[in-house]
Amino acid sequence: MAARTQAPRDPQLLKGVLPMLVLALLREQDSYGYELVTRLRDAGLTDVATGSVYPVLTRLERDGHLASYLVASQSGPARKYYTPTDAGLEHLGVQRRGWQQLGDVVAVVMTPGPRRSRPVQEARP
Amino acid sequence: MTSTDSPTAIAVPRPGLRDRLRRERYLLSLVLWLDDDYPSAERRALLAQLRGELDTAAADTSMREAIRSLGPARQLAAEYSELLDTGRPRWGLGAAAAAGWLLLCLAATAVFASALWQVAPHAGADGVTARLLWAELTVVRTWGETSLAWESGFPWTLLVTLGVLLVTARAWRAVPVLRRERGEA
Repeated sequence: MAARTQAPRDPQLLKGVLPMLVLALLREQDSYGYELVTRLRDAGLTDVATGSVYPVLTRLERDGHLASYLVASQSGPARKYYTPTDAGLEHLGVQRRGWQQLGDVVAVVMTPGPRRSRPVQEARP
Repeated sequence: MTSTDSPTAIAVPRPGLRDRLRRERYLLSLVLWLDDDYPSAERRALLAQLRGELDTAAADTSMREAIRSLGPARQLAAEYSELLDTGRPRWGLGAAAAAGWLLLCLAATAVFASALWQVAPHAGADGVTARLLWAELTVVRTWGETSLAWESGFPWTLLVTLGVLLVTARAWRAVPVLRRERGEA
């Protein structure tokens, strides 16, 4: 059996779900930016770029879905950790329900059904 | 909040000189592409954060790879600039417009005074007087006296400068009641 190759991922699709994934991972454990990127990669998003995750963190913090705190580093600047707020967790719940509903619709549409024959064109007088 | 353990500090090796230069070149490029009105305190915080993140990523892979993963500085700067509150006053833009207006006034006055300077010797001891917008310029150029006088009853130039500053900077946005909420047209 031939090995399955990973299909190329649509960047727009990833951009749309990234805030939800970030919130979901931070719900499990607070993380700083790069740590979160590695967690996303470990989860299967192997091609996710740091440049697409950091602005998402800033946006979620601006919108009040994330809070942040600094942890002093033994070398270099303090590290900024992110944690979801109550509003962020609520937002995550809404997003997850929306995603599941969308997934159900996509699954129904994408499930191959029996192919119907084309309607026969009636001869014009 | 659901997280329980507080994270502890992890030591990241300091990058070598070449990598630090690579990092700073990228960050400088990012700063140049950032919106002019990006608040300086936020800009400093962003750079400090990215510096730390780049060092951590570089310790994991390499500085070259860490920078590549951030993408083009211009694109990243555009993403951060988009996050700015569009309903805030733009003092930098207002100050630039006001300075431009003042420079324009200065240049117009210099050209006007220069023209008066040319004809002043023929005007006698009273000199030549002419009006430029709301100001009256008098140039005296005789053997005994050389002078340039500027008379303006009301400081219109300063008033217009202030107007240009406030309008261009959209200063009313500094008043919370007058600010449009995000998403409004």
